[in-house]
Amino acid sequence: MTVPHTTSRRKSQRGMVLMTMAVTAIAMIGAMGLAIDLGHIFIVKNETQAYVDAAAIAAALQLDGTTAGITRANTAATNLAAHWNFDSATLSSPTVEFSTASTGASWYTPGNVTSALAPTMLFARVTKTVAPEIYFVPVVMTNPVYSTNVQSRAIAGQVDFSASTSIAAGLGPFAGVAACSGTVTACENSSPNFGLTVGNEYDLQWPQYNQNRNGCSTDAANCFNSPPCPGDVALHTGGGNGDPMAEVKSWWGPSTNGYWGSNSTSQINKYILDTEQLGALAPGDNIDPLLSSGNKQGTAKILDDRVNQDVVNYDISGNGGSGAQKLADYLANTAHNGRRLMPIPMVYPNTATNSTVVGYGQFLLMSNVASTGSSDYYQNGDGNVTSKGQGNDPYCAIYAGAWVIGSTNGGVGSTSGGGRVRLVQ
Amino acid sequence: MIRPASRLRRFGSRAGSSLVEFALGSGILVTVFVSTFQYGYFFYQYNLLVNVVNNAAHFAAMQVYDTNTTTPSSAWKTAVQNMVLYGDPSGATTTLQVKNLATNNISITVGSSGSGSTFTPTSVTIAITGYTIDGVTGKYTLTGKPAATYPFQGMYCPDTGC
Repeated sequence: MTVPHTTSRRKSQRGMVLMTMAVTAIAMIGAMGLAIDLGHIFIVKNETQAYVDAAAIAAALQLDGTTAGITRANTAATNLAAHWNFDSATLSSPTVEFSTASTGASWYTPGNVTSALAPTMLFARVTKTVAPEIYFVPVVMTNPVYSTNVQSRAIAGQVDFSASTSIAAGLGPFAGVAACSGTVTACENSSPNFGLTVGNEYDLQWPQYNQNRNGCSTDAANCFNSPPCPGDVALHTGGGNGDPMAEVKSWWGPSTNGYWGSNSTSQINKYILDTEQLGALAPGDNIDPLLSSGNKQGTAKILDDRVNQDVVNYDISGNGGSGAQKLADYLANTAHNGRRLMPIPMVYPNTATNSTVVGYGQFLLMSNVASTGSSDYYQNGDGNVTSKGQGNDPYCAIYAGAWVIGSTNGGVGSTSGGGRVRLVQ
Repeated sequence: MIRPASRLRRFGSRAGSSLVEFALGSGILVTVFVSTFQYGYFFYQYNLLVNVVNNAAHFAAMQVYDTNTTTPSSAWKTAVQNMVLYGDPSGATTTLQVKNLATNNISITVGSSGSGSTFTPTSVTIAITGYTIDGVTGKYTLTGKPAATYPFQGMYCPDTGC
């Protein structure tokens, strides 16, 4: 009686151990799965998130209000190199979409952005989904799957400088004259172009001013020894509203040529070539106390140096091409590195003691070569009426639109004509 | 006489088998626990590195770049290295974000276009190299990973010391 009883007890105990082992093994594999598979998924998520963050920034940097900018943005995001799965697999071809706001209800794929929509596209959204394999969790699943989708998404956009943002570096030593009328607030609201036309040439340094010239007292056009740049001439209405030439005559007079900050050549060299500034500027500031007569002779070579720091220091349309053509050719040439584009403060001179900074603008510096060689436009001109390279001539540059820090193109532009690319989500 | 003897023998044999079972079972259990810990620790450290590298590359891409070669200035390099090590470019905080991470583990690559006077920076890549994650039973040395690349979005000043 005792023996069989013992045997049955022993058997049942062994079975218990096996069953317990089996149950615990499954539980243990499940727990390992949580530790290892979820850890793995977590890392994959972080790797792809880092990738879409960088890709969204790359895309947003390229936006400039045109469909060409949208195409560039898509390419920039797609070409960004990154890896996932412990750096073992390549991340590529994310989904890139564009919208007017970071919380935009409609997101457009690059092909759906029409030329009418392009000027409103300020934000880029990049999405990437990868499917890391999972090894342990499937063991305890009723319907096992062996990989799981991990989606990462980032939104970056051109965020306007807020009204109080001081710019302490990067602005050129010239004050661009906005074509405004009425109040300073009205002028600020005429952003991003402040009455200027993209592709027209405007004065950085105004031509030599002589208040004793015939007719200077009645018409600002008669005060200059050489005609100002064509864009400012086109805005001249014989005085009054929205006329930079008249404002320069009325409020700047003969002693201010368009410079601000300093008239020392070495200081101007730092401004133009090395993104240094004498002081910080913000929209609303009065730049009047900083305005100076500048240094025309010294500045010419510095401007030419900046032009020659660009791979595209030439205009294929030659000296005869229009400003708009030169700007379009420059932006279309992917070799350009942005050195020819110089941001400057846009100001509205409206009293003898007040020239208010209303925002920022970016200007394409001029060149007098058509293919290879060094440009010496600012030293020697290009033989055209407005720039013969003589002492009386102005220094012109082509207005290129809004400025975005770090972009080698223009920006889309909103309330201050200047901004920076930010990751917003 | 038989009963106690058999009981003793039975008791002795069961004690022995549970010892053996414990030895086998705990061996497997310890292996499983240690390897799970090992993986978990490796993942934890790697994840920290992904984050610090991403943050530092984002930071570096926004800084003023102040040389006209792919070799950054020492001030720029120090700020970026501090960002990787401490999450603070100034170096005022000196608590390492990742255990044993040192400056020689940080690889900084500046992507560029042009050369000489037409040089401009276009991207910044930060990678971890030669860093060993030291677990309980094994070590793993990372070479060139994790890495993060950001497009350059700062200002460019060719004159060192801007």
